[in-house]
Amino acid sequence: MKPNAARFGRVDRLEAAVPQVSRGAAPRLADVLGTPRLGGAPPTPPPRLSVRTRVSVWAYVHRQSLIVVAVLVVGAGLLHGNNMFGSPARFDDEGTYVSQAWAFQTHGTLAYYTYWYDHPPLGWMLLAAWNLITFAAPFHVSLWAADRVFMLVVDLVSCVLIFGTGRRYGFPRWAAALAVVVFTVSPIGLTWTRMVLLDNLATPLLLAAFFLAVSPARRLSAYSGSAVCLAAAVLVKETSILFVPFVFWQIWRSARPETRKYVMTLSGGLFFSGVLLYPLYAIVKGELIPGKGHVSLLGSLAWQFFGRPGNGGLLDVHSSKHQIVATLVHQDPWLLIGTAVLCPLAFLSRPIRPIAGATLVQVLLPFSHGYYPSPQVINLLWGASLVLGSVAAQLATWHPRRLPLRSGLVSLCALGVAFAALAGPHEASLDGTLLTANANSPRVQADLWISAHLSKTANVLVDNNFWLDMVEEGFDPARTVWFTKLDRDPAVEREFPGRWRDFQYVVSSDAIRATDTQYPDVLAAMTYSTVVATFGAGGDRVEIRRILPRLAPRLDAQRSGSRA
Amino acid sequence: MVPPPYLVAAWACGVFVLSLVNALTLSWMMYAWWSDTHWHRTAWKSPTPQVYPSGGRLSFSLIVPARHEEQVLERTLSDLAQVDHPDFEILVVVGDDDPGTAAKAYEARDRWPNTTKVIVDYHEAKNKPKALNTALPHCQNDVVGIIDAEDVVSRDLLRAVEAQFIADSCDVVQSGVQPMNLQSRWYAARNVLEYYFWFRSRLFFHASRGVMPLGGNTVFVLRRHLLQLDGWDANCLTEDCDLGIRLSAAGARISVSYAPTRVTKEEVPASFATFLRQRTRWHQGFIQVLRKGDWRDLPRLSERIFALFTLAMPIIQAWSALVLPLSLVTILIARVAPALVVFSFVPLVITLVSLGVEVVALGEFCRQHGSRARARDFAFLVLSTIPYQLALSWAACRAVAREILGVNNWEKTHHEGLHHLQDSKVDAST
Repeated sequence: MKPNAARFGRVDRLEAAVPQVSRGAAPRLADVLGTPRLGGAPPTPPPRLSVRTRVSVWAYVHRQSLIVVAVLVVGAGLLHGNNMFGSPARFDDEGTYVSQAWAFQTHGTLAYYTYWYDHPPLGWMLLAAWNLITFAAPFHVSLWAADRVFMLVVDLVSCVLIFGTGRRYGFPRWAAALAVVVFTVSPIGLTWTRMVLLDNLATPLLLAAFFLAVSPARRLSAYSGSAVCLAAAVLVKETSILFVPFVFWQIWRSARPETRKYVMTLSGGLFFSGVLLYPLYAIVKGELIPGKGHVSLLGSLAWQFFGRPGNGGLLDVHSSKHQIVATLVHQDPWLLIGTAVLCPLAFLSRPIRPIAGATLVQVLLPFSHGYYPSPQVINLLWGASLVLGSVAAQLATWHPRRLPLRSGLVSLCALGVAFAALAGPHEASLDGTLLTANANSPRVQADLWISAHLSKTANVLVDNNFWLDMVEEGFDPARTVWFTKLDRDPAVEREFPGRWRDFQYVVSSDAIRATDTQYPDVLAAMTYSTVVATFGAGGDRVEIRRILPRLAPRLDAQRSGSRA
Repeated sequence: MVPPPYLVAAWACGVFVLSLVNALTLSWMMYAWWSDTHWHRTAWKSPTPQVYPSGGRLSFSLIVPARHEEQVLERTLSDLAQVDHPDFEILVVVGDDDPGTAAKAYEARDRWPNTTKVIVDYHEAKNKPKALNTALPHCQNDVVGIIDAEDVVSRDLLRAVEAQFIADSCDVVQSGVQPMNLQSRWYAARNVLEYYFWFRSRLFFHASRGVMPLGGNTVFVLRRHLLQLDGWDANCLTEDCDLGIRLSAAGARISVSYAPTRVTKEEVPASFATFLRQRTRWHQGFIQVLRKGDWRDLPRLSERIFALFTLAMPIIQAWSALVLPLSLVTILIARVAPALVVFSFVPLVITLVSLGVEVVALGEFCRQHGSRARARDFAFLVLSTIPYQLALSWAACRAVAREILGVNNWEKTHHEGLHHLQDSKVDAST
């Protein structure tokens, strides 16, 4: 007995040896204990299905939707892919983004010239990833063509997501399919979704953000995914920020009240931290705040929001904004005006409200005083198609008591027929042009001529589309200069102290001819040059012009003489 | 200075691993909120008669190891003796060198002679697993439960546990444990929330994955299983975690429950030094369980990987404590590509998101316990993030060092009974 024990009086002392534990001695309880547990045998857990089985069960359950989606995707693919290199003509911004992707994949820089925070870089990083994955460069495929193929893929993904989002918002299958058809067939859609534009890359990300925000099982992972997609969309194109409140509104509505705070905190945290990586990059480079001798994120943002001159009022007939919107309305009056009218109607259906709200913002955007670029219409398209699908679905189930049976469905069919009769021919002819016209042939011919006739050591002023083609053809990117950089980029000015006089050629395209006094050197090069070769005619024509610096003093003298 | 590429690569790998660890920890911490299904599965049921059948189908033996706990033992034992259940016994284990505590135990036994027994632990060097092993042969009932001497248990705990044993037909029930005094120390709010996420959410995840590091108290095991496994490992610093891993490896079904009304109330460590010692012990205990290797008997590879990850956490934490300052120095001194520098912020960003979630949880926790979090509490929670992480890392480094040096003594946590005080305050106010 231990000495202390006596002091405690009645001690329940047991000599039972303390069992020693040793590793490996533990038998499996399940084997040793034949006796059933309390409450009977434990419930048999659901069988663990293999991934293959789960996929096939899912496919079986969704077989009808899958068939519809397959048909839609094939149709959209044929419509989008047919003549997608021929039409529409290469847009100025396409050259910018593809050449930035080229710079990223070959030089690891965000732009070939100084990156000045014009847009967040995720978009052309994705383009570069596509080019690398598809081995576009080693197979000598033009990067622009490779990226137009990428736009096809992106467009098809968007189609699937429009269908899925529509279904999650409670559309019947035909209405979800109708939304996809509207998105695909509209001449505006067909024109703009073919181009290599950041807005096209943002579209599936924004759709995915909405799709995941309507998580039927209210999964935290889906909400997080939604926030990450939204952040990615903003990092692809900063104007996606207009959709942010609506995605979070959707998440708020979808989450259950008990867990809503967690959902909002997690998704909000993920979104903001994702977006903040961009300013963080600027901070790390010392380029957040404007300063002497360097570009800055805030400086560029200030220019985009305040410094950039707006392109006029919508109602001012001479403003460029009026022209842009007029061109768009001419391309598809039915979609644009229909959306503007039906957006408020869509608010009648509770579930679709966040998308209707986001679309309404896009509808109202041209009415604001700011700068409205034409690719902005892409952000309107998918929301508009979902809004139209929703209104059609509501109309089909509309059943007022005093009117005859199924009046909603009847009026929907009547509207469909009327639309086909009124709008069909116009839209079909525009789509037909897009399916047949080769708007890019002057450029292709000019490309061939340039690589055959121009010396690889010549200094050439070009637009960014030609820049990309010539660099891919082996021209020196240091001697082939994108025209906007001559008057803006200090590095280029150092390289060419004589400014436009240091160049031998200027390749004049619509983009260069559209410049005005903000690029004096380009104007001078155009003025003091003579046409060597011309391809095509009208506004799309391409001229190769030889620059003659010695003309300048003579012409200037003549001008001043005539003025006198 | 441009660092050599292999250093940059190693650094980037370190940042990646750290991001992954942070992201997984955040994800598992939020298991209870993963989806509707998870939320319903982990939410407590209200105490209705259906949940509590007439009672008495199971009998309980509650072991209360007490060592230098004369301040709090009396109240704990009197609470326990009044627990609402027809069939249970209390076994208080006191050391032969601790007359003060023993006196309190005998007092309690004299008041409730039918339910309370006193067992004396004669081990030369004393620790909790030895005390538990001493009491185990005296347990006569179906289920053995462990209650710490400073715990405040709810009156209907045993009925709820019994109902859960029957409803889930399981072998082990782990009920929630929760420190309550979140305004006592600068680290208290953080400590409280750590418990909250662990017992409210993360343990459910462990249970669902079949790898269960049990908690130290309010854990109930069928007695025959404990005998089968030869009780607790007397030399392990976290005998609870070790038992959980061995039970998991043996194929036991483990159920978890967390109900705010039924949590066992504890207190946060009374001083920062105590807190550090407690953490060091836990960390070292996890490393010991890792080294013992019982987790290798888990049937599935995924379970073994998960167990490895869980048990190696202290090592990862110690490693990250060394990597992070190096990473900071790298960013400040060496010229690293801006994109990589941005990438190195990802772990921090995840920590910030976690902090947001913790702020939400603090509000929820206070509401569940009938109070409101004050601005001061939120401020402490936010401001203590970095010092707390540093403390945990320091404890992890200490644990690794102790394990390497073979130091294995039991650093006991001292208790003041602050949660009792708070409890009586709440009682008075309601």
